[in-house]
Formats: sequence, structure tokens, C-alpha cells
Amino acid sequence: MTYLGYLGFVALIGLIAVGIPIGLCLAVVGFAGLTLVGSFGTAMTQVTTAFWSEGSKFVLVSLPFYVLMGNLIYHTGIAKNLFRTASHWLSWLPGGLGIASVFACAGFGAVSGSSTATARTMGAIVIPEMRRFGYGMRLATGVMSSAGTLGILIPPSIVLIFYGLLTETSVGKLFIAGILPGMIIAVIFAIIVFIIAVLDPSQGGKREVEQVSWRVKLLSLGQVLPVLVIFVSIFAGLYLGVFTPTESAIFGVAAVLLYGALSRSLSLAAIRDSLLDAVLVSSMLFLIMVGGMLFTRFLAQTGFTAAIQSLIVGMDLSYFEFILAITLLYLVLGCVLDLFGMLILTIPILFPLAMQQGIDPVWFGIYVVIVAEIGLVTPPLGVNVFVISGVARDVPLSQIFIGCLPFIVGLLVFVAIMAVWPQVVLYLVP
Amino acid sequence: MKVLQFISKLMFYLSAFVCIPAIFFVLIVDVTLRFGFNAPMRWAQEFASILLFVSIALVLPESWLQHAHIRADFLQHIVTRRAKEVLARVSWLLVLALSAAIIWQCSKDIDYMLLINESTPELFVPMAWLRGVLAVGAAISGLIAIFKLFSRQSLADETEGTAL
Repeated sequence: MTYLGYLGFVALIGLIAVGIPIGLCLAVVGFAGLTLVGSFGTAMTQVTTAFWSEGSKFVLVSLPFYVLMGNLIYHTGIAKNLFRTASHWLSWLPGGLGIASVFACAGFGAVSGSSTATARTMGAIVIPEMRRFGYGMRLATGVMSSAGTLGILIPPSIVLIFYGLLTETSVGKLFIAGILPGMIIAVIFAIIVFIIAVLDPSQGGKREVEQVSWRVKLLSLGQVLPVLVIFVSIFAGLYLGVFTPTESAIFGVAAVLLYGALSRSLSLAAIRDSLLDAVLVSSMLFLIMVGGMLFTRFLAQTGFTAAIQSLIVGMDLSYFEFILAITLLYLVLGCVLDLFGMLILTIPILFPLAMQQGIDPVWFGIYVVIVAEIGLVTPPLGVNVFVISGVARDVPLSQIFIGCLPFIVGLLVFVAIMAVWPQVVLYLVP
Repeated sequence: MKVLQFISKLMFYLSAFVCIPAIFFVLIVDVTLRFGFNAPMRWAQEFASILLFVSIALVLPESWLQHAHIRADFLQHIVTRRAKEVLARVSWLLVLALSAAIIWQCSKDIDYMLLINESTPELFVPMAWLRGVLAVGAAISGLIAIFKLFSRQSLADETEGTAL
């Protein structure tokens, strides 16, 4: 029966590769597989059961609201304020605008759960500015593509909710665990920009950014206060156990709407577009979850999952070898699959193995998201690179990918740090 | 096709402008009552979960029409236009197959649920109604897929997806 699992896996990869929607591939192959393994009647029952059981999970309610919150934030103009404030404080450093853009992305990531939204929003603001001050486009596009990935690590994160739903890990704990790694990665990225600007001044800006007075600097902090208030109110509630992740999403949306109303930065058209996009994105994620559920049930019934797991257990890998192997696996998968495709195919197999290794489920979630997000900036899929390419159309894709290389190294360095010191991730988790 | 597009859009707007705001208001009120007055609404979570399910079922047809689903497009630049056309039609065929399976099973589920009078635990919403909403979403998706499959217009440009 295991051979059916292998055949199903190959069929799935084939369908995904030729461009059929991933959720649809998972659902159809899973359904066909369940029919072959069991019976047509059983497979049919599983389809509607999967739709109901996945679609009625309370934690899933948070998904459209975190997407909505990110969409609303995009329309408020907070992103511009974040970058302006960061550049007021950091532009005196070599590569200062690049460093400012990293922290602005981190700030935007704190109120948006999407990587491409972060890259798209900040890229459109930052890249023209960096170009104006003579920054090398390789550095400018590389840093924006890479810093965009902070959007899915710094909570709220749609990918962490997805992982939480797949593994039944507490989404609240995952969110809290994502804060420290997100901040450390932002610092690592800033150091990388600094080093590049010092070693290659042609990349680090030919013209000095005009410095502003301390009064202007301090006043600019007021413009980022709403981000801080929204972030703190969401996570204080989560940390203290006052809110569930779903309720924190609802309150996040309420806070952004309130800010939008007070600052008159949210039009009805912006709210309408944000709502429409939120339900579309949710349906897309939902189909992947339902399809993934059908497909993993099929694989489990064929014995494929158990066979792969026993194969890996048979290798008797140590903790570090296991981490290294998974990192390499994700680097390869990142070249052909998107983030959600990668997670849905690998987590059902790797998560039980990680638990056997004694790895904390929250730590594993953060680790998987970080190694998987490298795929966002590696060729040929590199979604963030394509997003930034849309903003800087005159920069060849190859230059953007090369620009991302130092930041990929930075991410891998952080993966090594968190493998050696897991407390880096778990320190804040209650 | 225009009628289907209209229905799909209507369901999409119902999902975005009725279901999601309703979840929002109910949960805001629930949390406020729980922490402000120690009087939680026990049914709020179930209400939100049901509405989310309804919302997703309603948005399914429009998600297919707007190509909102993630695809891997790394082979797209080396694939001929003719091949893209074939792949787009294969996608619609699979949508049709999945929709047909959902409708078929929903009709069986509804019969059974009506027989045993199955309902949700807090609000006592008949489960058959919820299966009905899913069946409607699948039916519109299936009809759209049939129209697309037999459409004479080129579908080659439909092989582009979205990404988060």
C-alpha cells in the first residue's frame, strides 16, 4: 500500500509544478488517494467532514481578521511614518536608510501578518528614497526583499497561525515566541547593511541624508506611537491570558479602525477593499488546509508517513544532524514550493519526528517558519524578490537575488544560534 | 455566465460585508461583556465559527473566478501558450470534480442530518442548513467551472496565482 503513497506524492508534486492551484491539487489527490486506499464512500464522507471540521475551528476566525488588520494598516499611511521616524534616528549611520528600512519593516511586521504585504508596502516607500540618496540598487532591493520576511515572523503572523492549526500548538505561545527572534533577526540584518555600506561605500549611499533636530526626532516618535499601542495592547492581552489569539485579532482590527477614524486616514473604499481581500485570502488558506487534511489522511492510510518517519528514525540522527537535515530540506523545497505548500507537505511528517527528538513544538514552529521564509528570497520562486522587482523594475532579478545573499547567510546564522540556544526563542514564552 | 458572475459577486459581498462584520461585532461585544460585566455570551464562539464557515463557503466561487489560489508558477515562463490553455482547463476540470463531490456528499449528509435532527450545540442551528450553504457554494463553483471548460475564450492568462 505504501507505493500508493509514493505515487500520490509524485502526482501531487507534478500537478503543483505545472501550475494547478496548490489547495486544489492537495484536495483532488487526497480524495483520489482515499478512494483507492479505502472506498469511494469513505472518501466522499471525508471531503465534507474536512470542510466542516477545518472551517468551524474557532482559532481559524483569527485568520481573516489578521489579514484585515494588515490590509487596513496598509491604507492608514503608518508605513510611511515608520520609515520617516526610523530614518530620522538612524540615517547618520553608514547605510543608514537601509538600516532604517529594516526596523521600519520590523515595525510594520508587528501589525501585519504577511511577508509580501510588508515587502510591497515598505518597498514602494523605501526604494525610491534609497535611490534618491544614491544607494546601490543591489543593496536596496536585497534588504527590502529580505526585511519583508520579518512580516511573517514578528507576530501577528498568518504562517504561525497556519502552523498552530496544523500541529495544534498554542497560537498565542507561537506569537509570543516570535517576538524575540524577529527583533534579533532585524538587528542581524541591520548589522549586515552596516558592514556592506562600510566595505562597499558605492552601495551605502552617495549623498548624506540631511540630519534633523532633536525636537523633530522626538516629535516623530509620536507618529509611530499607534503601532506601538496596537502591538502592545494585542500582545499584553495574549501574554496575560486576557485574550485568545482570535480576540486579539478582533481587538487589533478595532484599534486600527479607531486610529484610522481619529487620524482620518481610512476611507470607506479602503475598508471595503480590505474586507474583500481578507475573505479571499482566507478562502485560499482554507482550501489549502482542507486539501492538506485530505492528503495527509491519505498518506497516513497508505503507511507512507510511517515509512518516511521510520526511515529518518533509522538514520539515528543527533539533534544537530536532524536540524541540519531539515534546514537543507527546506532550502531545497523553498526553490520549488511556496511557504504554505512546504508546511502542509512537511509538517505532518516532520512534526512527530521533532517531538521524538524532544524538541519543543513552539520552538519547532518558529524554526520552521524561519527556514521556510528563506524560500521567499531564493530563486526561482522567491516571492518577495518578485514583489520588490515590481517596485524597482529597472533592477535585474539576478541583482536582487544576489543582494539577498548576505541576508540569507544572516538568517542561517540565526538558525544556528537558536539551535544551540533554544532559549532565544522560548525565553518569553510563559 | 453573467448570471453566475452576478451570483458569485453577491455571495462574495455577503461574505465580506455581512459575515465578517457580524463576527467582529459579536466578538467585540462578547469580550466587553466578559471583562467589563462578567457576563460572557456563551454562544459567541459558536456563532463566530458558524459564520466563518458560511463566509468561506460563500466566497469559494469568487475565489476561483479571481484566481485567488496560490500556484507554483516557476515553469510558467517556459510553458507554451497552448500548454497554459490546457492547464487552465485542467484546473477548471478539477474544480468541477471537487465541486461535484462536495454537492453529492452534501445531499447525502443533509438527508442524514435531517433524519437525526442534528444541530450545533449552543445555537441549535440545524447542521443540514450549513451543509446546504456549502452545497450552494460548490454548485456555483461547479457551474462556473463548466462554463469555463466549454468557453471559446482563451484561458491561457488564467494560470497566474497569488501569494502571501
